[in-house]
Amino acid sequence: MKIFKKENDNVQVLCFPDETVEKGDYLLIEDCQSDRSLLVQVIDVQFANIPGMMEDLLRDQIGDSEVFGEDYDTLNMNSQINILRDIRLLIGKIRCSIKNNSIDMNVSWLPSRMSSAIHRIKPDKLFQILGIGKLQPINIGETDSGSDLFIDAEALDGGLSIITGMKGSGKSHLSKLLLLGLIDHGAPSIVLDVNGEYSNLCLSREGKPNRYEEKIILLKVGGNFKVTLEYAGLRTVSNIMSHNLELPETSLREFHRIWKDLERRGRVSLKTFKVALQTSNINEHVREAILSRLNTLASFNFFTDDEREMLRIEDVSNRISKGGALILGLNEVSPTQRRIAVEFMLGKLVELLRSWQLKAVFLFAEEAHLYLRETYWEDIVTRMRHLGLFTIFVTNQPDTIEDSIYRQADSIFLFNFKSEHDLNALSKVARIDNETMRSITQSLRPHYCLTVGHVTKEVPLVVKVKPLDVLTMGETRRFFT
Amino acid sequence: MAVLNNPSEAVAVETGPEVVSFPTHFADLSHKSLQDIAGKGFEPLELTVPDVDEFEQPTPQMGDVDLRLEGVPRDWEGRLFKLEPSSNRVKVVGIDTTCRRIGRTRSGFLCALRGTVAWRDDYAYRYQRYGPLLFHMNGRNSGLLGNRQTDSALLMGVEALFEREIQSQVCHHFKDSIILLDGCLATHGSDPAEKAGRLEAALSAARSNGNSVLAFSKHTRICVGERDASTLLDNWPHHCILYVGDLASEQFKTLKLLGHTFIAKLSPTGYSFRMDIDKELGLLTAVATVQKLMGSEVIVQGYPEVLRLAHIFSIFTAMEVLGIQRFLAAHYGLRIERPRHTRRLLFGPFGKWDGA
Repeated sequence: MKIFKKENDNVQVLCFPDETVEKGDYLLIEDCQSDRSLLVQVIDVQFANIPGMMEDLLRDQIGDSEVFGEDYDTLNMNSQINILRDIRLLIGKIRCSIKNNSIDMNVSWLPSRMSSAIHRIKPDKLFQILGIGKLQPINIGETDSGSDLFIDAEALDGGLSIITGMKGSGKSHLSKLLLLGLIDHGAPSIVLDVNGEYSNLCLSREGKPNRYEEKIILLKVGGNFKVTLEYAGLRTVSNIMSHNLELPETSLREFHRIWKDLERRGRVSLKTFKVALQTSNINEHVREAILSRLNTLASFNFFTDDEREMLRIEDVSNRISKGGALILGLNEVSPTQRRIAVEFMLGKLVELLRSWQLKAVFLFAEEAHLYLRETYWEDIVTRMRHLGLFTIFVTNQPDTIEDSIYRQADSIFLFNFKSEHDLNALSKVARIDNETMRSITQSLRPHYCLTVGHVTKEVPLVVKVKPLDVLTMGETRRFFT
Repeated sequence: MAVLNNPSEAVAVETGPEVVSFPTHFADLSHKSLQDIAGKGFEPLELTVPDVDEFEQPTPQMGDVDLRLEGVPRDWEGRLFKLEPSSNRVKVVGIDTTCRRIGRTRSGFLCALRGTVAWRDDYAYRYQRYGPLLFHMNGRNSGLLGNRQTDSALLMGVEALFEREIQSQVCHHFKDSIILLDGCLATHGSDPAEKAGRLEAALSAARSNGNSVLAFSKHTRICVGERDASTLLDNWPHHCILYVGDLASEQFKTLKLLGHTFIAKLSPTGYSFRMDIDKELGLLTAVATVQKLMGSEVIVQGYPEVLRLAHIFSIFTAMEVLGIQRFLAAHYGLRIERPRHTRRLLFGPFGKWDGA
């Protein structure tokens, strides 16, 4: 291989047919004179534009289809000519510089074109240089050459991550891998399970209980997961009334007044609230507005007046504090119920985190646009991170995630995308340049993902997500197979 | 070594036995000439920035000089033969060779040769291609080619030797066919390629096999004074040939002419070319041969398709030249040296060759 061109952080390398290099691979350009190396990622493999190629191919085409003949090439010179025909041009991006086996972000120097040695760097060696997967490793899969890629659970800590890809590309699978990896390292997590695919993580592929049996707790909204109004608290219920049930501002003020009055008198419940509402001296329209919302809440069966039915998040969160996950099953409830349950859960989490009843928690949010209200997006990337809520968004619709989330994401896992619309949405990702993202994600095979950010020390890596040894339910159901 | 280009078609479209026995003495000479410079340096011909010194023009054929007529023929009608394609179909064979300079050494230059024989049978066009053969031409080995002063003359000489070899073998191999050569049927007496009367011998062998030999020249400019005479037939709406051999200038007459010379317009809208036909065939037979050619072969823009194919398969593309340069480095240990461009050294960015 030879350096052909270097412009800004773009490098073009001529590669001969006997040298196997694919998109996503890393090259090490070793400059013998300065004892430094450049780490370059191949983002595209093209044919080199050799003079005379067009004439040559056109003549070949004549020889292949219209005219038949033989070559008497005693010196077998065609072998050399065929090498030239297959010479490739590797389009690469400089990722970092390496000196004395450690990373140096100074890439302002230029290696020698003539005396530099260029070779493909083995993934194991690359991971070693980058120093990834050393502390609390989570094996997320392997590279094309079979090297296991371990990321550090610590790299997800305190950050915001995005997993996105087309339907069936393997994003939920990776999300489960990360979840189980975090559990293995003792981290508590909460999953907003919109498709009901996390509930069986505590079962092996054969359907038998596995080591996660005690660590995964399924919360069924309206089933084993009910709360009282009092436990939810005024702030959360008020948010539900306002954001999910669209209670007007005037009515909300009356709602607050009645709530506080009930609090002073003893107990806030659906029943006592309705009675208080009937006896209060308020506008009929306001009374009707609040009552209809209370009836809606009551009909969802998520709020209860029976404290024996109630589940306290503090209690279950204690059970996962040494590693475990609360799976909030949102698949069997209506969209409004879903939003109410999430509103409650996030409100309660903030409360627990603020009071240090919970140190920190990882939140896995699948298709968050289906249940997360707009104002929460900003909260998640700013306020909630500081409180210890670290979110991993999982979606197949990248345009549903706010631009600010992309810009502030610390780690990103991209699966295959073809649509220009989706790629445009992803172009907001700050951790990776647009050219690399577009070139690599468009050619990713199913279950392969491009990973970049804190988890890979900012160096984009392509990995085949490893199979899970648990009963997964995320696969698309099929009729013919 | 025969390399079938299209193995999947090997059974259905066999090209048949080797038309030309590969000229092994050429291969030996090639190897010997290259061994003399093994491990030494050479300046490859630069392909992307043509330099005025290196700019490659096609090497003209021996005797392929401009055809200057002594005036517009007066007996026009008597010299012009209107042609009708003959239904008597025959096999048409075309031969072309290419010689291209590959690079310079301290003592000479390197060149590559390749030749193609193309023909058409009942089913398809076929070809057999010989080469590339590489030669290092220098003061010592160029003696074989007579007293030639310039690189171009040496290139012309080595190509003529190779071409005559292939032409001769084709004339011996094919029977009852029309054989088309690139160039003309005229020789310089001093030409080493012709000293042994190789073209005459080839024509004779062709005749004894029932073949007719025609030569088409792409390079000859036919003119009357300074005027392009090929335009004489422009307004003539038919296929035709104009006999002009006896009208050639004194300069033309210094050559040994082995053919009748015509201006040929073989398609009504195509170009006109100089065409020579074996003199021994007689004028009327020659005209009949052209009609047979028109009935048996596709004529595109006034030029026979087999000859076009022979040219296409012979010519070296820029990529092949690069491949040959790599071959020389890999197999003969030739070190590639940076070419010295005097113009660029002297004039910097103003030393480019832009046709100035």
